Amino acid sequence: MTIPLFIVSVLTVWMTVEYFFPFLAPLEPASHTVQTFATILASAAWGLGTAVLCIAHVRRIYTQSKDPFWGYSVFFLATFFIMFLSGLIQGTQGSIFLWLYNYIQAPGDQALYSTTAFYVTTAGYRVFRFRNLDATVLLISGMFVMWSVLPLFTGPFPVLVTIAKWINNVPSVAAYRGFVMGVALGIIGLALRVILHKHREVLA
Amino acid sequence: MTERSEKSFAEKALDLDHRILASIVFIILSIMVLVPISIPFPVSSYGQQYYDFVDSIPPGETVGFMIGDSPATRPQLEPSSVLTLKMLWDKDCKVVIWSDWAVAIPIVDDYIALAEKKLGRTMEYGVDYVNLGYVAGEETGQAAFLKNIREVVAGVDKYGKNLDDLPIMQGVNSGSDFKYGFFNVACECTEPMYVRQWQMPYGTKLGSINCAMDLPSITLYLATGQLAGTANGLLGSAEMEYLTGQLGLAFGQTMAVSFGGLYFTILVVLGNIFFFMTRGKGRRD
Amino acid sequence: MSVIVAGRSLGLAILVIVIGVILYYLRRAEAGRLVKIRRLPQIDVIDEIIARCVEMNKELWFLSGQGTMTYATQLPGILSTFGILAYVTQKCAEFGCKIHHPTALPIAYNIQYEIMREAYEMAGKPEEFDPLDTIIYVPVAATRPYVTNESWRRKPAGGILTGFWYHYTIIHAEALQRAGAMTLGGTDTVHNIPFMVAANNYSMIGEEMYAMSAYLSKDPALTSSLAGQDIGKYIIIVLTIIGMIAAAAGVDVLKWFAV
Repeated sequence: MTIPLFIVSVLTVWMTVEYFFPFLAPLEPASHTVQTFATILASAAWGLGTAVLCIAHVRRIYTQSKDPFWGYSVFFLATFFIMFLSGLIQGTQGSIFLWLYNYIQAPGDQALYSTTAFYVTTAGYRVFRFRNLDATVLLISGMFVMWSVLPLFTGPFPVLVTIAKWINNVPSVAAYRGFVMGVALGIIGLALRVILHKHREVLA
Repeated sequence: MTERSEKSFAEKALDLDHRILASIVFIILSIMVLVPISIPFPVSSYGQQYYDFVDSIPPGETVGFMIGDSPATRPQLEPSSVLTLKMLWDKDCKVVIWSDWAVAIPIVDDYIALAEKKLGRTMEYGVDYVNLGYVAGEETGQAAFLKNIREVVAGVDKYGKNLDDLPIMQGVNSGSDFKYGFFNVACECTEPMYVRQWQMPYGTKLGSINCAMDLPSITLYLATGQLAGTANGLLGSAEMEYLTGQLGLAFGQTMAVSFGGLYFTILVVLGNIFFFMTRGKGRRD
Repeated sequence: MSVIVAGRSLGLAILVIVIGVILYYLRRAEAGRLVKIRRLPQIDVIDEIIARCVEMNKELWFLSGQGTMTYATQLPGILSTFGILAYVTQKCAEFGCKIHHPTALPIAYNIQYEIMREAYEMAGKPEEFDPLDTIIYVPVAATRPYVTNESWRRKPAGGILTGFWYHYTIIHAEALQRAGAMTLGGTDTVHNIPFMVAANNYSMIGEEMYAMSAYLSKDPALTSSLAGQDIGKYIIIVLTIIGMIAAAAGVDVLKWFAV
């Protein structure tokens, strides 16, 4: 653990100092090389993660007596290898790969994403109440912002667009700005904890 | 004292099975999707600002375009992306395309094909556009890419062609070589990343194509001028279709969304009525 | 050549001050004088939720959001769930409440597994930790159908949602609410806060999650950095007020801040 943490600390300090002080400009090519390493590592991580996932599922199939759902691992491996091999052999422009992408992956993705609409609708029925001042403000501002993006409402009542624009540009921006600054300070705190080796979990 | 065993109408309404509510919204949206109705609507300032930004890009300019769309968000962001490409190519702009998400790779090819179809001509690869493929590494990867493109992509495009052999890439090797840029980040909410790594270090004027949900984050940067415009979700796509005169699916679906919103409004009103009815009679919420 | 890159002096000054304060409080904490953090009301809410689950003899669900630990901007939110998870798991173990944690964080799974196992051991009930059910890894895309279906089937009485969330927030929160759970939700993801606040019975907004994690874990590093962040916020508030007044007086404030 010590060496990886040491590497993380050195690189974090180096990148931070380089951002502020121009005297480190001669080291800039080296900094860029280090950043490029991240791209390579990220690509390698895809491969490594996929390999580990396949091993885990093969193990589940092998020890099927311990896990009642091992059949799903067979399904996973089958679909994975079909997609993987079709992309590998034909490329991402290949007919099989594209068919699998356009007719299986994409509709599945879109269907899951679309469920949000149903949950938002039922949440609206349950949640938006004139319960107290805070809830009332949330309700009214939310409704104005929603109506401002619906042509059925903005057509007859263009003033909704003006009101929603004010809500978006004044109170909303003010709140989000403060919030974003707070989160940014949290990231600074985390970076310092990592540099000082106080937060070893980042290396999992 | 006898216990009341019967719920009042208001209580029953408040306890209505959520599957009924979901079924009604499904029916409404299905009807409007199958039988789309187009009605004119006022273009929002966001839509007009984004269109004006794309329109203001000088002819022949080399523009960077990061397309990180996903199948899930494609229906709402495809028209904005395709029409942006079309508007750029109408002015003979050159477009350098890359992705920050692997799942976007097939989508990029589709967008290019759709833009060519709208233009009515085929664009020449290597001259009018280049596809640099997927750049891994998230924020660090994008920062490295925008600092030195050739080093990160090993000097080749998605198809393995040497970038130095492509006319479009002459004199283009970093974010500073793009005066104008666009990014489509689907629902990943990584717009601030591009402000941090592209707009601020290199001064590139950026346009964002994003989900409507990300608007609160976007308005922060629109207000300070760090973003030049946003094509905001399905409405942004519909506005682009309207402003470019290329009415399509997004424009037609705004009524579906509108009726969905109307249903939502009715549910909120009814929910409050029933809530106060139960409260008024001193019963449980 | 200037000593500091143009336009970055103010940022450097704030960074140095914040780091200095954090280091100061860290030294104090390591000498035994921990920074006092006020008790957040959400801690009582956690106790209330656990009590409800015990009374109703149903389980508590802990959802730690999405994201990956490789994103620097997602990391604080993810890490803040660990402190809350440890507290919640230990309390559940002490009071005999079953906890179920379907995690969608592949890298954090090992850490969360160890946190929960150790929490059960500290509560003196290691045998109640079920390695196949107390915590399971569910891929991100599968969490939506999993949470929707399983929460409907298992009917948890309580739910705690923390961490970094994408747009699935409303689905998970609403699914738990429909199952009859009392929920506490918190995230530092800007655009998901309205969903968290609206859909849950109680909420933690942004840094309240970091503060909760620091308070519950009593970790010197966490509490010290929280104190440093607060000082940073005071500085920003002062600068904002000065900037507002100066801008109203017609001064070109941007020139000052772009030193």
